[in-house]
Amino acid sequence: MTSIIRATGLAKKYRGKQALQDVTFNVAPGRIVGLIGRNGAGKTTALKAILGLTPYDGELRVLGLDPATQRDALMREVAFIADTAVLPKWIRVRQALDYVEGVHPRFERSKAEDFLRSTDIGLNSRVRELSKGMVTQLHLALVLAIHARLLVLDEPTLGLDLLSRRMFYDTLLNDYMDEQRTILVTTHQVEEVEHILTDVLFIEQGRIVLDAEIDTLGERYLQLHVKPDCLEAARALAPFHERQVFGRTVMFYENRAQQSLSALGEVGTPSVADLFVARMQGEKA
Amino acid sequence: MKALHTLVRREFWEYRSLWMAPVVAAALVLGVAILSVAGATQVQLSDSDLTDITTNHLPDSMQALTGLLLLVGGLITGSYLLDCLYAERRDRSILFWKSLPVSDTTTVLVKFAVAVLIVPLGIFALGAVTHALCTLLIVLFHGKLAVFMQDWTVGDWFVGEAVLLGRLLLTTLWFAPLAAWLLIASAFARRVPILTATLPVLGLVIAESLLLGTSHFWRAIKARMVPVPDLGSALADPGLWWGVLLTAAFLVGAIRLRRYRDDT
Repeated sequence: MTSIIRATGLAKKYRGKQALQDVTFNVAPGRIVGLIGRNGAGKTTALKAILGLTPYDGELRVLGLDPATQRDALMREVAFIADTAVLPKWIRVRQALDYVEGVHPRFERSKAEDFLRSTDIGLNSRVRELSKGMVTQLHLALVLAIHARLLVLDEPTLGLDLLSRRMFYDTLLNDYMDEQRTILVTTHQVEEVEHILTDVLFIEQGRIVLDAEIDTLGERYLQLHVKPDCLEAARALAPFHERQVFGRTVMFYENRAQQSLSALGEVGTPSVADLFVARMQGEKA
Repeated sequence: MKALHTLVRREFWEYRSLWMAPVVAAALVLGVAILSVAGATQVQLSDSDLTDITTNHLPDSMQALTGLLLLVGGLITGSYLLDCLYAERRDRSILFWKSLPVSDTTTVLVKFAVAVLIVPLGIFALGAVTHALCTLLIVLFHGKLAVFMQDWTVGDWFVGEAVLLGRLLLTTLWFAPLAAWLLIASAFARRVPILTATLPVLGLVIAESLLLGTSHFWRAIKARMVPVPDLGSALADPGLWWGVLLTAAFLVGAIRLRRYRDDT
């Protein structure tokens, strides 16, 4: 199967700081990949490299194209939402539709209009008159109507209220996603996306620290709610992270057989959010 | 073609003053013409007066009118050029524009063409129409169409407009390096594009006078700032053609700058 994104040894220095180093990963078609990291971990830099918005070192192929030199061809197949604040304030909804229809050969205007009809957004409104949630809906309407093979989302719900965030991801799943399409989404709000992801990439200080399919996380990682009298025994099995939840100790293990743990407490699969926190904080005494 | 058309329309959506300011100026001129003609109805012009007006003053008035509109257009396009590649970074909409399949080259060249070709040609057409209306007004009010047609034919009118158009195109060619420079400043500026456009020039002028005690650069700039003298000598002026080369270099620079400039 061909890769949608193939990064090999991707690196980028930004203002004297190593923003990305030796980043290697593959994104297969039809996946929804979460690129998850703290603020400043290198998520946006990685996306900008993928979109050909910034120069980089290393090897990068997106849809078989080189983003640095073939950006114009690439943008015919890739759609991109940076965050909700990037639609120009002066533009009218109708003009935004006219514009995208005029410059994008794969834009299906009727689809965007259908979507907009289900909202309160008027065609004559200017973006500056819309609420933040409505601007997101407009942006989504534009992007969903583009037949793109790859959709890149960079913190797409930043600053939105809960309802708008929910609506955003629901629409994405219901109206956009199919097996021909691939989504790469960055966020630092893991809980919000974890139920839609098929794959996760954790990034920390410019490095990929975890690259896994959601379905295999359970085979690789276990969390153990330790019985109070088994603490020492549990620690002896080398958890990579330990924390207190409601007075109980939870330990996280990598590549450990479930049977070896089950005597010490309640074993389960950690959520992506818990795993993220565990991974980022590392071993804690 | 459809994409280019869309890109040009986009510029007029964002910068409505590009078409509104010349239209308002032309409307004002027309208004003044109507008022003065209406006020002058008591004064009966003789046939010889009218002949004098049509042969001696009409071509001048045509030029004066278009000149006025061009002045308005020049100010508007200047501020447009300074703002267009800066504003999209300031409001971060550049990330939206860049999410669509429009290259930096196309974007920059369209903006340049809007300023040096489309707006000037629009102003020319507007000037021609306004002037025709003004002339018609005089003729209608004094009912001396016969005299008018006899001394100053429609053919003359077209010749007059054609000369004007030639001069206009030459003038835009003359100012093209300035236009392209403003685009560079707009693409480069972190904060105030006008300072980015002027301070380096000022710095060079000062550096030259301090280090070399000369002022060639300043004189070259000054010579550029005055409009071209006339058709023949301008075309023979090597400065015009060096300017074209410089324009090309500036445009390449602006395209490169926009390539990797983003909202940060």
